[in-house]
Amino acid sequence: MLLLTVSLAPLDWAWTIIFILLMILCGVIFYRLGKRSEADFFLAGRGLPWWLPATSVYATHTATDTPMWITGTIYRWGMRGIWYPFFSAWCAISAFISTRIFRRSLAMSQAEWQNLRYSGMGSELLRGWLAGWQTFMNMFVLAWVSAAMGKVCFYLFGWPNWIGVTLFTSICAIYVLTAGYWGVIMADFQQGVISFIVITLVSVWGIFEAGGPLAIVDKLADLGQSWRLNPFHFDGFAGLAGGKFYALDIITLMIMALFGGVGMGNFIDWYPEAQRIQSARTVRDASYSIWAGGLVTIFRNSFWAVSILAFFVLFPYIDESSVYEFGWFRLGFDYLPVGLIGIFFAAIIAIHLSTISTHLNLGALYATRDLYHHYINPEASDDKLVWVGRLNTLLLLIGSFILGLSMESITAWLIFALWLQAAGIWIPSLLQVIWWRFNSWGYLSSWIANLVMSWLVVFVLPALGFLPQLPDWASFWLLAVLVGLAYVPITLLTKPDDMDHLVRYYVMARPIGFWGPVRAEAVRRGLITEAESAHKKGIFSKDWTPDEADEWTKHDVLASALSAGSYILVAIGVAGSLLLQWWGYLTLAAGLLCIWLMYKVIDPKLKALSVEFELKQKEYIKRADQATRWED
Amino acid sequence: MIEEAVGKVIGMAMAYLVSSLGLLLAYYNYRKRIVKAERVFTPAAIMVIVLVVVVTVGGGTWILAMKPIKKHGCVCVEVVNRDGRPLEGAMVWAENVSDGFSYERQRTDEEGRACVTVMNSADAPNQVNVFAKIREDQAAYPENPVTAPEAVASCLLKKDCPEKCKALAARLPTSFEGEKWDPAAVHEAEAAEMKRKTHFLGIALPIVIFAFSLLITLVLYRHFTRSFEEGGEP
Repeated sequence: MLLLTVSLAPLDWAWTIIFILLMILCGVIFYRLGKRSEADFFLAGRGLPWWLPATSVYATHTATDTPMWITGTIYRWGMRGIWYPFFSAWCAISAFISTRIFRRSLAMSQAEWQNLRYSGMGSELLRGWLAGWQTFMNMFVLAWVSAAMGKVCFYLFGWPNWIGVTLFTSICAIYVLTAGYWGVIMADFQQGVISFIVITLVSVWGIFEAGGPLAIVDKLADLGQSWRLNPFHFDGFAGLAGGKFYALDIITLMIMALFGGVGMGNFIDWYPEAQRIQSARTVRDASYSIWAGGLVTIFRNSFWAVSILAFFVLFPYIDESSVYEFGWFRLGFDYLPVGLIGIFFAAIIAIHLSTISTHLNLGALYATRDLYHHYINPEASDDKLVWVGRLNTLLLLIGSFILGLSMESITAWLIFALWLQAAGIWIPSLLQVIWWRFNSWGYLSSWIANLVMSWLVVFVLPALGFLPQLPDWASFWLLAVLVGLAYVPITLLTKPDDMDHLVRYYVMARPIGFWGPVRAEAVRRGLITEAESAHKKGIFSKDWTPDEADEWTKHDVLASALSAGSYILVAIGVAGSLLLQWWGYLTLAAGLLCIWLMYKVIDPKLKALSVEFELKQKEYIKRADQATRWED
Repeated sequence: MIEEAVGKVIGMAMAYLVSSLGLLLAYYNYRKRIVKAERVFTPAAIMVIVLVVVVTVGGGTWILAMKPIKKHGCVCVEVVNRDGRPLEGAMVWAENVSDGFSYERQRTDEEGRACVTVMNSADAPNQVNVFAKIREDQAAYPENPVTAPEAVASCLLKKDCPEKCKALAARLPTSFEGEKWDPAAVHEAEAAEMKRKTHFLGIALPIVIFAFSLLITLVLYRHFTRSFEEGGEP
């Protein structure tokens, strides 16, 4: 087992301790705001400007083991490995489609959204199921991330596992317990900024230690490894052999990531981001927070990718993944001077704290809002709900310690669970957004069927010899079909949701897709006005009326396409530019152009619909609270 | 592998349990608060659900009763350099002749020895080709293919390795000149020089970052609490 045995100088320890104290301070100081209400403890009062949740989106996309995972991917696959962490690009399309719809629903959690979208017993069962699932999953993620920190501390310092598992997580719990989401978001902002600065610093440092950008290119050529610079270097279009990098892997991943942005709940990341979406002060702020957070993550990946190429040039012959996965850590600890090592370690702690704080508060949100408030004590006061939120935070913390310390083998399940969550329910998660006829029984059955089918496809059938061990892309599509065999008939064999309920949801959230009968009913009741003029507006039109802005038009499609394009171009462009390649400058410039065009196309429309929605928001929130209290 | 499978089953069971509690809570509340609980399932839907449950229970039972249908075996080989001396740090692995699958890679110790796990089928031992690699130079064991032992042992699971592994009689020669190879060794002189040159940054940069952090916290605190005191939303 690799041990880096890093020794920190007193100056490094001083910076680390100052950083920890600063994080506790910047969280705890918001105690007064956090205790005001349930909405403050879990959503910071729904009043944040876009850049605060954006930093938090970036910070939560950077977990304790992310540097190891991305390092391993790039070291093994070269620049083409940049597409594996590209799944965060779901934010590119979500920002202008599902984020907008979810923000308008004003649901505090994804479980609550099920209640607003669907009706009857099915919607309640779905809310209960998802709330239970999310409470447990957040505790599990906490255990997993804490266990990863335990390993990092063991590798770096040789500390016993329990210290790494409990120490930093407990520090984080201080400000989450005190100030709730206010503490999370403010500390996340600091942690996001610090971790981005340090990731950039260490990456650039590593590049120059390897001789500079052009030297990396030359040395790769000398090693006969120039293919590592090509992000589109595939081992063929498709195949079933393991250890290969097929184009279909990436096409599947791109479809999953980008089109997944239309749906809700397709990815594990959706759930924390849903909280960030609702904490933004307007629909426009929510859209930009998700878009910008995703883009910064893409930037980060490119910086990491080039620095790992630098690490490859320095250490080209490492075969053990357990050794090369620590490549980025080694660039920092081996080459940074005294003092900067302290800030580097602080950034590693920052990455850890941002993930922990998010999942502590998010798990408590599901346990408090959906399980306690909705099912156990609907009449609870805000004061009581804040205290229950704190109690749930504490319970999650203790549960995560027990899991993280005693059942390490179970964490293997989490990776499987995260993967399967993205496989079989990917299409149902889209359908629930875009098709009015898809009902709660269809979605609930897709969850159950997915959990069963994934066991069959991944473990049981291959072990019995009925199926070969399939690559990820094949498992994904097979699961999509098999799970469909369950939820499609169940959807069609059960009744559609109640039309009154659907109309109310439609008027409030204005979902995209196949909602014809519901829309017609809403128009017939005089609840919405059809604005045909919206479809005739010019691409760069600035004068939108609220009714026009509520319509889905070519502007939304174009903005989403430009957004997705900008993510792809920026990912390649930043990496290429860091290596001083002409194609890097060109693609980066094209990416920036896409961003500018996207802003020009969509911003006037977002402004118009946000202003109009703000006027109705208080009434909608009141109605959502009434539904949670069963007064609806 | 078994340990991992058990872990997955327990993890899944715990997740199902907590989710099912949420489900039951929802059902109880709905029946209690909304009197007209509707009948939602047609007989056909019930059949589909029953089918899913049967498959779940069947699959779960099978997983719990699962026996390893593949058994681990292992082989040990000694790798030498150009001069016939033991070579430390060479990467050793064994590929199945049938499908080219390689189960484990290990670096040689200071005696030039490494033991790697191979996957035997339950019925017949596999034939494997053993290789060693140093940098990009790959060398094959001269008596390939070798037959893996039928004994159940695994270096991966730290079970009876190397006691019950098959020790290959011949040595595996490479063209490497030295006696030790460490691909992950730090370029210490270069690293030390870099650290010396950039020492001042270790003081200046953290101060700038922390000052910014403190300042922005205080500004944000003031901004949001002022809105609070004015009675409005933040």
